[in-house]
Amino acid sequence: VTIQQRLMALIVASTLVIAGLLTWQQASSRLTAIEAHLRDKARTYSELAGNQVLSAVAFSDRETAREVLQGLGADRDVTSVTLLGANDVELYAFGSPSARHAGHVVASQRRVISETPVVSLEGPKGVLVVELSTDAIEVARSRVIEIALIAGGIALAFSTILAWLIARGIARRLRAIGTVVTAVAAGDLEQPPIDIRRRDEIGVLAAAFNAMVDQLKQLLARVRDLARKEQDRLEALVAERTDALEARTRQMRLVFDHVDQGLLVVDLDGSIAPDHSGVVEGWLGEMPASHQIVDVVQRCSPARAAWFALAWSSLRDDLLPLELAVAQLPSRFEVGGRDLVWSYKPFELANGSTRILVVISDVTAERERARQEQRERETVSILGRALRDHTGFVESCAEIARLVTTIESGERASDEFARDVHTLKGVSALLDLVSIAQACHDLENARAEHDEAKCEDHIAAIVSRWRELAALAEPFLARSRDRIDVVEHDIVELETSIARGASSRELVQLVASWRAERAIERLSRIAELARSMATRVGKGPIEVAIECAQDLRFPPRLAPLWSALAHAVRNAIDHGIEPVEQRARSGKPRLPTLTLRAGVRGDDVVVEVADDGRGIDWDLVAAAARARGLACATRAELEAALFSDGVSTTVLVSELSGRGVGLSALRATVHSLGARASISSAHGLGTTLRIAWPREANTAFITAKAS
Amino acid sequence: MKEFETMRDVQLQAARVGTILVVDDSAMVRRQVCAALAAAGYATVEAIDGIDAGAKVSADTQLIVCDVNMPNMSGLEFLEQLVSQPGTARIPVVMLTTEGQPELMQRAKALGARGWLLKPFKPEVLLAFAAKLVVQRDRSR
Repeated sequence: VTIQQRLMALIVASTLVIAGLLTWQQASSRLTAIEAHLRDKARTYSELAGNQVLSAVAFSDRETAREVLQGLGADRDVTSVTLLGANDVELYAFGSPSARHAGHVVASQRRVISETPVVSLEGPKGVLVVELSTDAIEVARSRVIEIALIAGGIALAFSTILAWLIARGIARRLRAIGTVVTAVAAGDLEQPPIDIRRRDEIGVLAAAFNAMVDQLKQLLARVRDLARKEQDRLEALVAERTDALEARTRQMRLVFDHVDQGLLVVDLDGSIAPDHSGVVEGWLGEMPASHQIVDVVQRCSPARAAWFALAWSSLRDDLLPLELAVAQLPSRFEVGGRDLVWSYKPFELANGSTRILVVISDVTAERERARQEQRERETVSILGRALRDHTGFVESCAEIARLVTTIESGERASDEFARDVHTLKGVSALLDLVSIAQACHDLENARAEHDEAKCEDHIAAIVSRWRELAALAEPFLARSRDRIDVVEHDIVELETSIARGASSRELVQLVASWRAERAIERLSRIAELARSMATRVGKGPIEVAIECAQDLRFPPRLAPLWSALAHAVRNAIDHGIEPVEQRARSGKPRLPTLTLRAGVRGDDVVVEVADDGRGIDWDLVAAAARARGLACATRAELEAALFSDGVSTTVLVSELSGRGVGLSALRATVHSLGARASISSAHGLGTTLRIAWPREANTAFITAKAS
Repeated sequence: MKEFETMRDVQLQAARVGTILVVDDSAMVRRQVCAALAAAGYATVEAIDGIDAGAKVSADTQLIVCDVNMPNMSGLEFLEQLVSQPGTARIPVVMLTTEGQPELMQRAKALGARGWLLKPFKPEVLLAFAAKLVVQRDRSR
């Protein structure tokens, strides 16, 4: 039911009610007036006629009664006139009177009855009854109803039209507002404003709607404006950031394209990240996105791919820290004539996943240059040695030549072979013949791996390198055969001896001793070697003190002693002397001191190498000895263990020493010369290695002053 | 060196619990491995091949470091024998191998070898294995 229908019903109903009430009120007053008029008329007729019929009643004169009352019949309202005389004798009757009962007229609905007693002066009493018809009232009533119906119909028609017009007017405007609001609610603000010419309530409502829509439009426009501005700002920002990122990417790309190292990021599954430095493809070939690191190795170095795959898969075993696990991956590759070193650096991404940065360096040129430099250095070294320390040079060359020969033909599996290789490593390292020392070191490793092919390669390398060096040394060696070095001190000594009248036997002995080497010279050279070696292995600079009598001389047969001594010096520097930081922690002077002593002590000739380093940890020696099944109860037993094959207290195998072969090789040499070696050490304070032999054996070479 | 000292103290304690069996036909390699382990405080027992190793495995054996190529009984055969016996199957084994033996190592892994040590080995890798596996085994007891 719409508002229009309700309004219409309301208006029509109220109009009808009003019309009905008015009609009823009009009709009832009119009918009352007609009824009153009829009663008045009946009473008037009765009074008038009553007076005139007095005589007629008195005399029962019907004629008179008829004459008087006949006139009343002219009134159409009068339905009956009855005059009753004495004893209810009917003197006149007109019309149809109502019935009487007990002397009175029975009142009728449709009549107005006036009953007037007529009392004549003569005595008889009569009654005049005038009855008027109420038909006029009925007529009037039906007339009123007729009028009321007509008026009602008109009112109904009129009110219906009016109601329709009013309701339609309201409803239409409300509908118009409704349509606009619906459209606005649906988001369409582009509606024509609602007509507000009529300032009634709907007009106010419409105006409010118009204002609201306007407000919404403005608000929307503002919001759109803001949104557009914000979008512009964001777009500008994004563009700026993108530019910056691209610039950085370009820079990175530039760096990547020009860096001379291969950089690859690989995840633990072996997938290679798409970005890598430019040289990678140059060195390793195309790198399609689908490539795994194992595929790259397969292509570059097929022989090592299987191992690489296995080792890479073990990175995920979580058995070792990743930093150590990558240490078991192959690190050197020869690809297309290039010597490439791969190093692996694990790192963690922000999301917690692990990647491995593979840094590939081309060390071909570097290695070649280093090899070249090393060869030149070796040449210079060997020439310098030949000029500075001719005796030592000749002896060293002889020893190296002997060792190379025995190694070349030696039984590879024997302990003697191992000692020879180790001794050669030491002697050549002392002469700065790094290529031979390195080859010896590699040979030791290959031997430990049972890699016989590699062993032979390294032996061949040692032999060929030595031949080159020997060819270089040959002219100096040739010169040495007929020469003896004599220094100023020797001449002065000879002159002094002659001047004081020494015996010819004494003089012969003195001159003969010139063939023997002066200990102090040899110690000075060893000191020089020690200083250079200390610097080379990162322990230097060091202080080297020499305590030796000027004229102490050793015979040539003791030459191997010097290489044994060199061993001891290497041990002292490599194992004895601590790194600088550690010395600082234990409160020792920064500068380590190495003391070389030679002299006569009682019946012995003694040579000592003493350092102020960390000393020997006898507990560790005991542990190592126990592991080897050696006696380790007393200090003497421990000392013996230290000199035996395979007991080493260092876990580091370096170029210089550390396989537990050094001291046993030294002992072998010393014993072969009829001397003995001993070691004394206090943990933390230093180590002294002593080589001693009976003085008798060498008396001839110790001058009178020395004794 | 300071770290080394501390580590050594820890390992000296650990060593009281059991021993590490080092199996290699090369005396040189045995010496190197034992020296490294002894220096870190582990007690070691040496064996020269699989047969010798089989005889020296005991209840105290916490870890076996074993070469692959050996005369008489190879490392793989020894490993097979080890895992087939319930008493020894749980002893962790680290193989000593070279880059040239990936197939053998694959088989060793399939047999249950926990890891391998590439020759020439780096002592810190050996000690990391020892630290990890010996501790693990202690826990599992």
